[in-house]
Amino acid sequence: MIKEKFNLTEEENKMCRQIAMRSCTMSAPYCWEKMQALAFLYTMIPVINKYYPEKEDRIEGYKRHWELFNTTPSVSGFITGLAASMEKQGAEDPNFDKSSISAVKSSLMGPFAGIGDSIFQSTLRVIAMGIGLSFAVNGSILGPIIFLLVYNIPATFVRYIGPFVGYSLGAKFMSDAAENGIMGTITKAASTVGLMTVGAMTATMVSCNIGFVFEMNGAEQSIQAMLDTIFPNLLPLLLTLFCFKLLKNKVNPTVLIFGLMIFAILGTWIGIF
Amino acid sequence: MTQALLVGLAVIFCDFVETWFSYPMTTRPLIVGTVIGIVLGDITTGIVVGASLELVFMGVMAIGGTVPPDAVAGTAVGTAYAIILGQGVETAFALAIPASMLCQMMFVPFTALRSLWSPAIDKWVEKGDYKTLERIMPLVSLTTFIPRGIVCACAIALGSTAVEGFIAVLPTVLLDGMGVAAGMLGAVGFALLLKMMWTKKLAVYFFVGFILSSYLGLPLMAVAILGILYVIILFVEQNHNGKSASAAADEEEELFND
Repeated sequence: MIKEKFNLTEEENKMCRQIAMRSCTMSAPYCWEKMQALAFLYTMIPVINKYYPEKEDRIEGYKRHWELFNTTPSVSGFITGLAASMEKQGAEDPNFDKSSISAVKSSLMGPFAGIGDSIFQSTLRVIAMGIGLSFAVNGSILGPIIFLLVYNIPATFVRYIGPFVGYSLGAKFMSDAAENGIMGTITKAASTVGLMTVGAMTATMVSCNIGFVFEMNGAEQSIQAMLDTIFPNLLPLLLTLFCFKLLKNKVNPTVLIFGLMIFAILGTWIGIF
Repeated sequence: MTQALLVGLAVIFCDFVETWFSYPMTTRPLIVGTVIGIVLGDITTGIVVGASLELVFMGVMAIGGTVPPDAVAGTAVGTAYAIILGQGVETAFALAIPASMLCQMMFVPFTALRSLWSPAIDKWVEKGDYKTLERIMPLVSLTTFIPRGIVCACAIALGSTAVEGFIAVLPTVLLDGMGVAAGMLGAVGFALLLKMMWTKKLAVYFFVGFILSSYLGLPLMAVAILGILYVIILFVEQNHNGKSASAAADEEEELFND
């Protein structure tokens, strides 16, 4: 089905599938100086071997991809697919400037990491986790299973389709998409949905209750009950915004976590919570 | 000892699956907790502890070269002790967070171990020896994961008695406080997420989501679907206007600019 959609031959179809499988390992050999380079090379090995019969050309090709690369693994298939189509062009056309392959790679990895992180890490993961957690807090095995399914079904689709899109649409389309704002729009759309779910999760999953009770006209009054009638979950909201403010002022999250723990212990000791 | 070995292997397993299958999210605390629960024979505790640690580590992930607290090691050690000692979420918290901080410090040197392969890889590339390159991938990958697994296993093997004694002398107010902290620390996780996503124009949607859930009591799934529908409406409107008048471009910018 995908084959017809993108007008690929049987052989190309097989190659794209192989690229998709290999692209999944993108962050497996991550190291500090070349980042995901080895995995990119690993992905391109069958492509280079397919298009270049001469050993010298192959070695040159391996070297071309043993260079710094870093993007979100889930969307890396778009770039590996594209690199494959450029390698094909390079093998067929002697005038093709092969250094453009590296240039396209390095110009696309940034935008794709941005879009990949905002869609997968901040939006899809948070939504999937929110649904999973609502089961998991009671210890139900459904929690982790639902989380994995909700995240991985759409993610696997993108992982698989990536090389096909990258290979058949080619360099021009991809760099156009990075420049003319399509990616920016998608990133913003993902952020909108992400922010809404984070807002909803702040209301349901952060808890901060004042246990302090005082007497008024002989009746016991709980501060928490009063707050709840006016503005439910006000304290979790304020606490989250306060943490956000501190983080923005470059407070280290580690310090913040320990500070909150000490604050909670002190508060329990005094009897506020 | 067997337990320590199982925990170490579970950590390596989670890391390996995560990086070899394009981030299927097996290194999230919820999943790590579940896996530890499975290998130590108490799935329910594993899931409950994993779920509460997940809230703390929710916003924690490596973006742009930063090194976050090691949620995997922290969750593994915390959950394992909660199960082995038969204690609750409070204990897991008291142990998981220091453990994750410790492993955070080791993350950089452990990943640097992989660079030891670079000269050899250079040589294989030079020779065009692609078969060796393909075969070496798993080894390069494991160069970081195995030390991580060993550290977690050691934390379980060496610490059991010491940790048990330590928890016995802790005053109850400390553990109660940890319980309170467990609820509050989610705020840090969400704050970290907000820091990534927050822009002045979009900030209002955070409050929309909050109100939908807090006042109207909508479940999370409903909020997410509403959000997606809203974005689709915006997109359709934009395209529609874009065809009829060029003024739509300004509107688009208003809606989507920072």
